[in-house]
Amino acid sequence: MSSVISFTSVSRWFGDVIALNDISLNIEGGITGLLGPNGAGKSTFINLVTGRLKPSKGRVTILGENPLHNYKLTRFYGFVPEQDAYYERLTGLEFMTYMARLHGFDKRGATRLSMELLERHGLINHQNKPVAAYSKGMRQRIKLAQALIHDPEVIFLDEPLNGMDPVGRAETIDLIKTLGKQGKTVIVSSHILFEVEAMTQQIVLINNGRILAEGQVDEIRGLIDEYPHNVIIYSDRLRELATVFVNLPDVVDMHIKEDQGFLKVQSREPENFYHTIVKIAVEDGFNITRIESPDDNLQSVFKYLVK
Amino acid sequence: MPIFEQNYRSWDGALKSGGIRWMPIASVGIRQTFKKKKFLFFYLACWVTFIVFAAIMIFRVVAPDQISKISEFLEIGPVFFTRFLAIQNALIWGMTIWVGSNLINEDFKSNALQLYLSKPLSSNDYIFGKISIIAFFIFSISALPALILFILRALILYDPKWLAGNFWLVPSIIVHNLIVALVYSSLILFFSSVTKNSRFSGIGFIIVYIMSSAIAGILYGITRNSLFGHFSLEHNVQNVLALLFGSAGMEIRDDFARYMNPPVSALILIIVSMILFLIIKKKVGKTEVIQ
Repeated sequence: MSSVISFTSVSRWFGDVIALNDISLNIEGGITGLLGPNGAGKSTFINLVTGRLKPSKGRVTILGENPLHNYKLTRFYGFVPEQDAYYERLTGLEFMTYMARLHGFDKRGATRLSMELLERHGLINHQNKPVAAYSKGMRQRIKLAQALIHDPEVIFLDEPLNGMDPVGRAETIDLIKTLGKQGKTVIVSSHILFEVEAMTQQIVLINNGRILAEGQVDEIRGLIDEYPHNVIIYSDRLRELATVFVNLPDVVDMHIKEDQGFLKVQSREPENFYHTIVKIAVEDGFNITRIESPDDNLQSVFKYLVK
Repeated sequence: MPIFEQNYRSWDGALKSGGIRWMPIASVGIRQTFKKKKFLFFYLACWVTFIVFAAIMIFRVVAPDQISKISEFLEIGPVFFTRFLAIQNALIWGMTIWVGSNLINEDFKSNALQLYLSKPLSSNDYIFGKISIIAFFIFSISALPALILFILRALILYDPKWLAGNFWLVPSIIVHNLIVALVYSSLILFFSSVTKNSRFSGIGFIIVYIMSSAIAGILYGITRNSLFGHFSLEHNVQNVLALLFGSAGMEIRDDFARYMNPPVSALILIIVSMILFLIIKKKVGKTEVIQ
């Protein structure tokens, strides 16, 4: 029996640039984290497996079939792209119904299904708001909801937690874990190990178009701990936040960028740190609008791995 | 938010396969266009010609003797319908730019093609959905009012002889609109797929429309060879009217278009549309690649 996703000696280049270099890989059911810094080849990987790119060399299959321009295969997978500026003028319900109708659902079924998914993703009270008025977290959730509308077997998520607020992150992570428990094959691309680790133990490390490692996340956890994790927090009360963080034992460095409205914190225990952010946002009423995690520490690990 | 520990259930409703997959693209595009207030005003203004022509038709019933003295134009026959379509052709021009100039480049800008192409849609479905949006508006301000006028004439001045003698106008009106919709939509979508700014798409369309006539006029003036008339988009469209509406269509053509060959014009328009369609398809296919 063939794997859910299979890459056999796959290379893809754009002109002189090699995006993926001779990759052979099999991915089975459950959640797999595709981990690598920006420009590592993660998006190329997803575009190849979703049939929107032709491999320059080698063979890609999903559910045993060649995905290239095989639009019938789209019935079996859902795709959550990284970008989120689509159909700003449509309301949440209109957007979902539109996506369902593109999948071939009739009008009545599309509306009913859209309402069900909007409810499940906590967007039912915002169904009549234009997508333009949605927060970053709401946009991510509606993108995820549209990818699940046809109950696919395989789900691809390209940087699903990018720019989300702490509560949205926690909810999305739980949602992805739920999908994994249901036996779906979920591929999550990310440049943040902590995020992937919160969802799955199964990871594929990719850098400069090559698979550096695949397997259990614990195996590289030790390496990551040697490098402090950078977190950028956007808030309107930066100095007060800094006062709270400075007392945390895992925080090793901190910079306030008031002109840009963010605080950059280095933590040795990112998991604890993210829990603390959620806790203080909820208990102390801090308005944290956005969290980003630059991939500096991951880059350091990759440098170490390729030495 | 209660999303924890919830299971996803498969929808047991109808999931259609194949068929008209482009239809949702067309229907959402049409509804979104109608939501723009300025556009709605323009759209309603496009129906003024219909109101005027319908009034003429009714006036002719009320005072047939006076009308018949005024002009042959007011005879309800091929000339009447050809003139109506010729006037609407000018409005179709603006309609095409308004509706079509941002149809593809907005999707490029927002990377929406990633979403479209992760659905069971081919790039042909996508392009056909977009063409249908423009074709709908062209039909609704040209063929639809013309056909309503025809039905009105048949109803208020019931005359089986007139109906039998003029019924050929119905397919002619429809085919004329089909060709115009094909040419105009493929041209504007071509510009929408090669430019990032919708203004440039509109400007490109206008330039091709005007410049092609200017070049054809200059070449015809120099050489007196009517073959050069076929460089003009406008005169080829006029010739399609001539081809479909016979002598009535011939009369409304500009001077040098009268020497052009109408079937050749129709053929050129169809070939040009097909070439533009292939270019659009290539552009859409290319954007499937996210580098």
